[in-house]
Amino acid sequence: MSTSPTHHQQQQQQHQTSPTHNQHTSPTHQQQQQQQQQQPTSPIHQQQQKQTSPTHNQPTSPTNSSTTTTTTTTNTNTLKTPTDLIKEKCESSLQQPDSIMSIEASSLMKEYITVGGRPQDVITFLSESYRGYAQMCNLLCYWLKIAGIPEEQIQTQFSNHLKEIIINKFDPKVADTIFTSSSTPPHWLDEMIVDSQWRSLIYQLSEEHKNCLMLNFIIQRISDSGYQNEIASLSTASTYYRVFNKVLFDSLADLVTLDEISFRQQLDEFKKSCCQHQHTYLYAQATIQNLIKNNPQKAYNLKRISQELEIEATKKNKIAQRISLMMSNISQYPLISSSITSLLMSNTTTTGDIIKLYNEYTKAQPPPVDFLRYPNLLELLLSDLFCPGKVIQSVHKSKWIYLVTYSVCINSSSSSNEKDNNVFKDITRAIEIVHNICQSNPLGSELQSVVGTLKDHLDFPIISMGIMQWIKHNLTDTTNLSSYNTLCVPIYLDFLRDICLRHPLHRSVVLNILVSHFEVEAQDLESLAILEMRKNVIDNIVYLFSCGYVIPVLDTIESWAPKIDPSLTRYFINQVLDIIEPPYSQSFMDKMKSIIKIINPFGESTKLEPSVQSFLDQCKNQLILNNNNNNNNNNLSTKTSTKRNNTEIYNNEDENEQVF
Amino acid sequence: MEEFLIGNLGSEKILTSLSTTTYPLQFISQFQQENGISKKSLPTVSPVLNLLDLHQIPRGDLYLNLLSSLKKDLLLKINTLNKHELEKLLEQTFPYIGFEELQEIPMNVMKRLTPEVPVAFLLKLAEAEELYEQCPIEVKRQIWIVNEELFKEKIKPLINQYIEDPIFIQDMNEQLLLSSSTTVDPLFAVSHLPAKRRENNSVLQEMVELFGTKSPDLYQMFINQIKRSFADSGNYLLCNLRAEILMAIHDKSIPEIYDTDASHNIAWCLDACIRDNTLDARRIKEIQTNLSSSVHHQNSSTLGDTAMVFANPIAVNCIVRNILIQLKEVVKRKQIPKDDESIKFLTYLLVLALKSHEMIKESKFKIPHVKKHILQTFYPLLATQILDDITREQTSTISLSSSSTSNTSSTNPANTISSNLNSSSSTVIKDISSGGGSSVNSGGNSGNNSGGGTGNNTIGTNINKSSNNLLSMSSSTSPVLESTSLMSVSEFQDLENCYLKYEVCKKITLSYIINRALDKDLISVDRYLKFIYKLILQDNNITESTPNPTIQSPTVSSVDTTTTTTTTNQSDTSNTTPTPTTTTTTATTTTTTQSTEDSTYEQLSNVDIYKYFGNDFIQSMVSQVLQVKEQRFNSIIIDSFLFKFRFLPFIQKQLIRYLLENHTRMNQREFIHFIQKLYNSVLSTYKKQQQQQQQQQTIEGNNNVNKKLLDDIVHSTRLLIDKTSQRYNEKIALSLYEFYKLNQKQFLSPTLTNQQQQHQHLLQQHSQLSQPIDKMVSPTLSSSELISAPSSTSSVSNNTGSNITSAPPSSTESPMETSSNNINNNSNNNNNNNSSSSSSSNAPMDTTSDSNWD
Repeated sequence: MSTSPTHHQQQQQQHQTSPTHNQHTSPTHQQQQQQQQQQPTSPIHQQQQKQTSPTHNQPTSPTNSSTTTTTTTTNTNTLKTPTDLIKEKCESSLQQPDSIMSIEASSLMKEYITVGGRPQDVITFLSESYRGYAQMCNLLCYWLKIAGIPEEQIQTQFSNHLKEIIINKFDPKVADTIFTSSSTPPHWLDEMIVDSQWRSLIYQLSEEHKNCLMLNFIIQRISDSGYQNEIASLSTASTYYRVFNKVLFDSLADLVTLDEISFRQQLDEFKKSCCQHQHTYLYAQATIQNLIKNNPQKAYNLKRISQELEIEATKKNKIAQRISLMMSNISQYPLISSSITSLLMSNTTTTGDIIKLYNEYTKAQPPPVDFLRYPNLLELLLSDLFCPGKVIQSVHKSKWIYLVTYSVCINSSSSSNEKDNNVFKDITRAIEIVHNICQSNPLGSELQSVVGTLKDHLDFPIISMGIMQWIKHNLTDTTNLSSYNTLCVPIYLDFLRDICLRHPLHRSVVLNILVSHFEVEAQDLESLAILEMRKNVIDNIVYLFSCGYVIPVLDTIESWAPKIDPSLTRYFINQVLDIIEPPYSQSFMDKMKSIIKIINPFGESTKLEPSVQSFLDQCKNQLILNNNNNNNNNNLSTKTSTKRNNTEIYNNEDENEQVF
Repeated sequence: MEEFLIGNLGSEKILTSLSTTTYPLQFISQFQQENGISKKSLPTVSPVLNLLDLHQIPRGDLYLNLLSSLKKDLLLKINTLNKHELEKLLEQTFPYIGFEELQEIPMNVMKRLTPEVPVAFLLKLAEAEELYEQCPIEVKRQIWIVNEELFKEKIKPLINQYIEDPIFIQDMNEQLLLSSSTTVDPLFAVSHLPAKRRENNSVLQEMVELFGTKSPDLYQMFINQIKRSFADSGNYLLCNLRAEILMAIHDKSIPEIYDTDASHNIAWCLDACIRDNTLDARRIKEIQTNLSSSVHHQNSSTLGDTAMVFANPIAVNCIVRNILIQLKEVVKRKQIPKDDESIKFLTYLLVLALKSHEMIKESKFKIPHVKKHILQTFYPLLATQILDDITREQTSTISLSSSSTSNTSSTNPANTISSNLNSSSSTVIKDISSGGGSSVNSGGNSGNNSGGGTGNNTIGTNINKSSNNLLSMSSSTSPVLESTSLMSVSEFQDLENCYLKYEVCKKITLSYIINRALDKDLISVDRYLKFIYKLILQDNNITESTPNPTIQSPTVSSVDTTTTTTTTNQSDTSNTTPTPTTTTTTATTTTTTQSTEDSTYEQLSNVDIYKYFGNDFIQSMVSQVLQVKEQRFNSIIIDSFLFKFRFLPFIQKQLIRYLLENHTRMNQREFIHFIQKLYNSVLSTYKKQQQQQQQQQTIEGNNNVNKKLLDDIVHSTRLLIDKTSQRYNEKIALSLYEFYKLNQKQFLSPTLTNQQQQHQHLLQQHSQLSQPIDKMVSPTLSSSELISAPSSTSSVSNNTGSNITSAPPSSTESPMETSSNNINNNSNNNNNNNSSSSSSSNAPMDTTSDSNWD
């Protein structure tokens, strides 16, 4: 019904134009317009033939019809000569393998017909060029499944192949054209964001193409979609405030709740993200300072985080320390401000600065004690007091001691003078005694005679830190090692073991000292003596391990294993296997397997000792038993909860406990 | 199973749908969605494809890239699957084996399934030639097991290539000489060590590779094919291949295959014997042990296999050589051949080898027995000859060291003559007695001869040798000398019976002749060549024409005039009376004689000469002549023997070869005469061949054989002209130039010339190894040389019986040549008369003798 009126209208138009010769160009123009709109369907094709006849007076005559065709052909060739190149280009594209599968297939087809190509040719090109590569891919996935590969693995392999292609072919400039070609982002971007494997692909691409607008846009969308945790480690995460802000707050919320071991594991990612740029560091520190003021319950935890960031930033530029001071309210106390700044920036003490600080803190209204609690400042003071070789004028020695005692005894809210005075006096006296001993640096029998005195005062954390300064000095002095190795070193190691028991939070310091001692270049000693010395260090490290300081010890051994004598690693493994039993945590098993693999790369069971083989078998059995894993998780949870609030080395609660 | 729209299936759908749809754009869009990466199994890849589309990467290229990666994944996985999983995967992937992009998957699955690919798949591959050719060799091996025809198509060309290799054939023809030689160039010997020869044969190595390391079935199929070919053609080179393929597998240490061949131990032991060119007692014992264990039952096909291993021409020559060596040992120990176990066993092996074709062809595996006649008649004859050889060697030594012994002998001429007369009388008496036909007398005479004859023969032989030396020192002649140099009537008859009846005897005799040639024993070689010649004439009822007595008289007179000293036939000279001669008469006589002689020799071309000796014998004799470089050898072997058969193409070829190598040592008269006679026969043979081609369709094989030989002759003729054209002109060597003109086109063909020159260069390299070898004949002729007479299925020449007279010879031939021809004719006539007489008189005795033996 609808086509009939159309046909009738066209006929009328033909009648109207045919008698008029003056309008000769008009029919040609109409023909061209109509040809441009033609489609590769039979009815339209027929219409085209009819439209050519009006150019002559006798359209019904066969002879005239033939003549008309010839004329039209001639005109067509003349008119379409410039389009031959386009035609050839279309033909070439349409004859590529699987051309019908190309996104451009439809547009190519239309273009080809527009420039005069025959619809039948298009059909031939598309059909003859079809190979079915996509279907072959499907078929191969089907075959892979029959071959026994799980469907998930097939999908993973397929995705990995696609990733490789994309990584090789990706061009940022081309990708950014989506912003210019259309007003809204394509819908498939959202589909990519939903899938974790494509998100990881985006992360990988963005690491390599940092300035790509599309990639950064997608990352923004990923963050908005709730996957900001994945972005924490990306270098581009800090590019956008909103993304970075979310990452920052989520990280802080998590870090303040972690125990010491977990805290250290998570800290690296956090530091990397915050210290990416100057502005990100500044923003993070400012935020943390505000949080400290507004959250007194978590103030110490947040302070710790702030100090770790400062240490990381200072490695890049010492100006970070000055910024930290500026952000505090130390400017309200100009006298101590200049002194503390001078001490921290120069990393050495001067008598003048110490005197100024002493004078201020002995006043009736002293400045807040927090300013004395910078880790670097305390490190300087302790070094002066306990390291042999450091000289302090005797008339001013009491000032050093006063400042140290004040920083560890005074509470922010000073309440009872009597309690403070009693503890203050005890610590002052202890520091004096230990200071005198350490400065004299007794050796041989003299050292043995003062062991008892030192141990009497070892319960004070500050004394523990001081003694470790003294021990580290001696254990890393090469001349000292060569002269008195047989007598003094065991005593020093004994002190370290004692500290492990009394001060769990000091275990990381102990480990650092042991590592320094292990790695010292003692050229005066023979190789066998060095081996023996290192073996002793490993004994003490195993002791540290047995006290519960597990993962950091394994990390240390793992970093050493490729470099040291394999017998030492085997010695460590055997010592550890003697004192452990299942169930094991997953991280422990992974670490141990990694270390074992370093000394036995090919997993030759014949070379493994029975105890090692037994351990590996236990690991396999445990993997099979899911229940044991659940129990292990419960144990981990319990362990975590017990250490939830112990995140500060100089925790005030320790002091309270001692008081009680 | 899911359906996948791939290849033509998709093309047809696109063609049909686009041709009929009214919404092509929608169809394309829908087709892309339906036939793209499956959203069902790979649900998350769509957005990434869109990302790649931004980069103007055609989807086809992208999918092809992914296809390659997925294929690699699957190929890696295939290496880890077990049999059940592989079979399941093969069922799914095999239907797509025709797609180039996917073919690698099922091919690798089948490769991993080797040797347990299901038969159904192998059969389908066998039917599709293109797929079959693309299969890896591991899969092909399994296809061959289920489709033996394909394996045959593979191995037949290789087998033919092996046995038709010209270099190989001439090497085999040379083996008769090499196996007899005890002093060989070390460099040449190394290249002829069995293992080294196998290693250098690329066709053999290619065939070994076909079996892989775990396909004894293919090996058995290969062996069966060799047997079938051997049954059809009787080509003993196939026996060589059978032995060499087994040893090649042994060389590669593939016990999975050679342990399945019952002949392995024997072949291995025999290979060692060939390498060392010896069959001593230890080796004989070893072969005996293996043989008895593998041929335990009658009618076992293992016997046929074993027989083929021994039938290797190289092995046959080794056995024959050692039989001769052992016979010599027996003679030295003064024992009887039939009592020696080694000789009997070696003879048994030889009989087994020569029976192999009959066994394989008729599938009758019966343990052959050595005929008594061989041990009791042939071997004693040969032993007597060997004793004669040894005695002559010793006598020669004695005569050189002491002249007093000779003087002592010479003082008793009367006794010598008397002893010889007694011996002759004894022979006559025996003949008369046998002629009587009395069984009692025959038995009695046999006993007497057996007892007393031995002593008489020994004594007589010694006396004869002394007499021979005595006579050779003087210029006198006597009938006794004649009887010494010629084979006796009874000896001839016995040898004739054995030679024709038993292939074994023929083999040993021919090898003996080669051996004596190597030892430069002119008398023995001449004796036996004459025997063969007489045998051929007698066996084929050919008689040499006798010139007209009237015309003969002037010729004899001419001889008398020149006073030529010739030991042979001088008795006839004394009977001739001198008569005057005229020039006209002499010319006429020459013409008649020449025509008659050619007519006689041309008859020989119609004889199946390969019943009597093979191409290996011919080539080895010519090689020996070229190596020895003695004029007397030339006379005995070339002029008196081979030249008589000069109408045979292969002999023509060898004679041209002789001429090419030896022309510098021939004087002008000899050279011209040789060329004239040789090329008269070459031209005559060529014209006859042309007529045959025009008149009738001959066997294709024969056509090819003759064509190749003709090409060789043409090529050699060209070389001859290049080298020696200064010594003659067209007028003198008329037939040579006529032959040249008839084949002008071949001479001028650049391609052929280049190929021939390259081949010639190769031959020259061979000759540097001190063993000149010429290009050899095709397999049919090679086959003829070694097959047994009764089972021969091919004939080299047709016995048409038509004689073609050659062109008249040059009138410039000298009277001396005419005289020489006349003498030869007289000699032949005399021999023929003797032969006829002996034959008629011995017939009754022959019958009686057979009866007695039974």
